[in-house]
Amino acid sequence: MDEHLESRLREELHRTVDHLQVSPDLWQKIRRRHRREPRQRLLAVATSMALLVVVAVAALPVVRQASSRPDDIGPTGSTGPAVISTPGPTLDPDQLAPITAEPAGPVRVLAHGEIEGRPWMFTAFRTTDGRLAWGFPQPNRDTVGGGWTGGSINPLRDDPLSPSVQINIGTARNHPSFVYGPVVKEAAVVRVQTPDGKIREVPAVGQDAGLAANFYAAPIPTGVSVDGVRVTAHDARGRQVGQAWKEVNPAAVPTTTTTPAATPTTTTTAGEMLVPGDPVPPGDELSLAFRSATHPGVLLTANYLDDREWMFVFFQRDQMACIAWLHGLGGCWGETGSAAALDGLPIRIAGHGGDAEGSQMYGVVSKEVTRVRLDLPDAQGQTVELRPVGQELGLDVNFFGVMLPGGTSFKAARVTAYDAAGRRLGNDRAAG
Amino acid sequence: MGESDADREALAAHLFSTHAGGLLRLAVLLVGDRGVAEELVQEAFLRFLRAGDPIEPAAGYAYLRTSVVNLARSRWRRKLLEIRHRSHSVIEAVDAPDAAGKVDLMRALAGLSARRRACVVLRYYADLSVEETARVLGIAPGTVKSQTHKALSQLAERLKLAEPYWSVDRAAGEGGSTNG
Repeated sequence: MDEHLESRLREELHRTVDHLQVSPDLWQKIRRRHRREPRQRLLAVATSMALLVVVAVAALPVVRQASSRPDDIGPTGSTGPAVISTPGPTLDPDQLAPITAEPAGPVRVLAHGEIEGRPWMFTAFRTTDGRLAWGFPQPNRDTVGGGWTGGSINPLRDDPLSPSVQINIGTARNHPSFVYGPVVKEAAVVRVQTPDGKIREVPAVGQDAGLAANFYAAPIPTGVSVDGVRVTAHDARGRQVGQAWKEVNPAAVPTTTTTPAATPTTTTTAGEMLVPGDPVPPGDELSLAFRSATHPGVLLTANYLDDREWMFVFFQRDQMACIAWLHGLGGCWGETGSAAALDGLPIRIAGHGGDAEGSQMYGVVSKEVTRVRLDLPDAQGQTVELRPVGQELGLDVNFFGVMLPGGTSFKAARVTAYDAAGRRLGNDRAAG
Repeated sequence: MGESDADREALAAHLFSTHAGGLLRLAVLLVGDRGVAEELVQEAFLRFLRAGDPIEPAAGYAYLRTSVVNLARSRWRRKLLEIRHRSHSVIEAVDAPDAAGKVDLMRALAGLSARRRACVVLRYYADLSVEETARVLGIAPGTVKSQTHKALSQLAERLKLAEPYWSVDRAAGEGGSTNG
């Protein structure tokens, strides 16, 4: 690069800002804010897990009323924590008083156990507005979180469940983590593989709870990374009935280093960050870096939701063509998108899901589709126009996808495909 | 470590007295707005004060600088989202040379992506090495080189319209990355 240009740039940069000084009262403002909002704020995640411990200790007598058969677990055996799948006590909704979802009736603990001497409990239930929710309750409404802590509660659409296994990860510094979520009804056991290669097998629970899905909750000991987990679901005969992966970006997970609380980022090519404002042009080849391997992929589109970036990529993994969403806190893996998925139709929803960070829908369209209209149902009343992507892949299908704010329900949402002349080619409707 | 809140606040006060101005100027170059820059500096110090982990005094400035850079990029994301929601053409309008041919440095910087802008500011204002810049941004040194090179080409292209003094030889860029 031209040295003259560089030295001129240095000069100009300094000339532009070197006269600037901070406001005289800035330090006082900082001190005032610091005293108003004390130090614990950045420790919120860790604190919530600590609360889980505290409250769970309080709940111990309740939990122990139930069967104490430990399902000690794991093909690899060694560190499998005890998970008690026998239904636990019934909790009074009023006692729980969750903020984000109101139980429609009594809430029964579906799984509980101890990890590192600390009891925990997990439940799932139908909400008053007909959705499913799950999480780690604490039977004390006076605590932070209004009765829920140590993870999350996630209202979601009803059946059928797609994808077949969903992954939530609750993690905090110096505490056990939890990998948990809904799984298809036919699942009897769920195996959670952590990056250290260990597999922990936990029972799928909730078969008789009258819910549209079963659930699993796998406690992971302190110090075991959950930066990338693979979850497989199996029926009573051992057949695999679902699988999913999820990456948790290390930048979003509390660590013991002194690195500033970084803006969550998504790792892509050779450790390079994708920074919004500098989107990788569609069609760029990416190497999706996971803990153990990299996978070639092609970026279909990149965009931003709030201050989080998300990408829609096409890649190959384990002999399977996949479309994937990556956003600030990790990945949400879709299922195969290929010509066969269309089955002669112009458009087909491949999957939808989400968490508190964002809700995604994606699918496959035939080559003649140039516009997709997504109509969200009922009260949401939202219409989103989408442009199919993936032309650069040279496949016989293209793709569509959208990321909407967390909590958006795609239940009964409809996608309609149009060609370049504006003709309506067909539609598909999300389950619900 | 046994670091108390009072210790952390004392360290923060010291860092503020010695580095707040520099952080503000860095932030101004990153976000292009003095008021926003001051908010970022404020937020960076708050993060420093609230951080759960011990922070060595010698690492304090680096912590604050990285916070400012991350916060600036986070702001850029929101800004970009707003722009994109308004109109797809706005980005291009920002990128387009000023009709009157008068494009100043801040405007030219504003036309860069967040990452390229950060590379330029950290390399040529903060005088960080390629490796230091890579650490602050969390990207590979090679990426810093290529992004900086592309940023300089973009800046030169834009500023050349305002001031013929600016020029760039695209073929001379290190890393073999051309921006064409």
